[in-house]
Amino acid sequence: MDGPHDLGGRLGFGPVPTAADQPFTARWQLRAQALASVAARVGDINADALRHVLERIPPEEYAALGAGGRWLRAAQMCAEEAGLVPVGELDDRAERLAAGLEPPDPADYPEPVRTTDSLAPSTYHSKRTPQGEPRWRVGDRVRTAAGPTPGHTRLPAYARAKVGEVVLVNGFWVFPDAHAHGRGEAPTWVYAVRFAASQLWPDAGPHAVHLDLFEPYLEPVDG
Amino acid sequence: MADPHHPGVHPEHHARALEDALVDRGVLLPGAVDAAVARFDADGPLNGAVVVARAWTDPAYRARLFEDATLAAAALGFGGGHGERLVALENTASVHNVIVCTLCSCYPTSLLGPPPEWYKSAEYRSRVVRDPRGVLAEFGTVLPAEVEVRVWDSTAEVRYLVVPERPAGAEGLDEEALRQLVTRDALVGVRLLPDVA
Repeated sequence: MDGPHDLGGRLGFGPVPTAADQPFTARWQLRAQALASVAARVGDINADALRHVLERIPPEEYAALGAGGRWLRAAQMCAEEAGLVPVGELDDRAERLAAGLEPPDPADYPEPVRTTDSLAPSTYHSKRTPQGEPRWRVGDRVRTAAGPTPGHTRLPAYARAKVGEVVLVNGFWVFPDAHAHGRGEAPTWVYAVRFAASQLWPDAGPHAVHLDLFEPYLEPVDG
Repeated sequence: MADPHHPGVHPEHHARALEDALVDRGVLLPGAVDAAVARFDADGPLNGAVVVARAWTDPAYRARLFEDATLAAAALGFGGGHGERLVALENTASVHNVIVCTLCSCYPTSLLGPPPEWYKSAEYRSRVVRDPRGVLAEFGTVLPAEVEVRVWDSTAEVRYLVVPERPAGAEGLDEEALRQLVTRDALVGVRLLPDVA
């Protein structure tokens, strides 16, 4: 999906804020990231779908929010989209907190759509036991798909319809484009593919850019 | 960060509001977010320094690291989660590697802890793939023109660790002392390690 998150190679950004060298500037930002992972878990939103939630933050908001703010927004979207909390309640609660008012009476709010008692820590693993042989070998030249793909994808816009060389066969993994949209895991091979920067942008180079690309993104150069 | 819809309401209030809403409904246990925060805090940059210092002092380990970094890191107790597959990138006098995630903020957290804010910034994510030397210069890193620059965009679940060269003057130091020389930024590839006086 063309979205505000797909930043590679976009022009117009200024100097890197190198002085911002800590993970977060405020504790709430860390809690927001934790909340997003918890809300996603309770809402049955898998790791790929959670990435897509972040990508669906409206572009003007995405640009204005920092990383912590994006996690908070994603956490709210998870809770609302999963039906855990009705739209409007979160703003109401936040305003009460800001004003120092008492929290709402739970009876004033609708019953939750779902509950769970399974809150043990979970670590997402997406590596799978290989099935079949990889289509490409190290040294093969490949062309990337033209796109854009609707929905979640891990093929950045800057690497669409480009020719590169496979430098690593990087294992067999859950395919995010399918998994983020409830189409199963569809595990597939991942390859590190090397591109000459001058091929990606006319003003770039002579460096190289490597991306980890899922097999469905790749076609033969002569195909 | 101001909330355009609700002036005066701090994002901290929004974060608390969501947590309270989930806890009040019983879908979240009190303390579940604290536990998740503690997991973010558990990994630190030291893990990567342990790996690199070992690679500098043990040629057999170094060979294993570049052959299979996942196993080599696991041998020192590091991995899991975002370390399901690790690849070590060797910086030399002629090759310089630097990592980024242009689509979100993928980062080798099992070895380096959570990423710094600049790593997640739009400026770094947009520019380092297209103009790595310009970005590196903003970190004070100026590479000779003949050095080959390789940027690695972490677009899947593979995580990359840059292995810097051992600083000049560090030959006599033991592994513990070498660990102290390793910086997070060198393992991302945005800074070089200074020579040891």
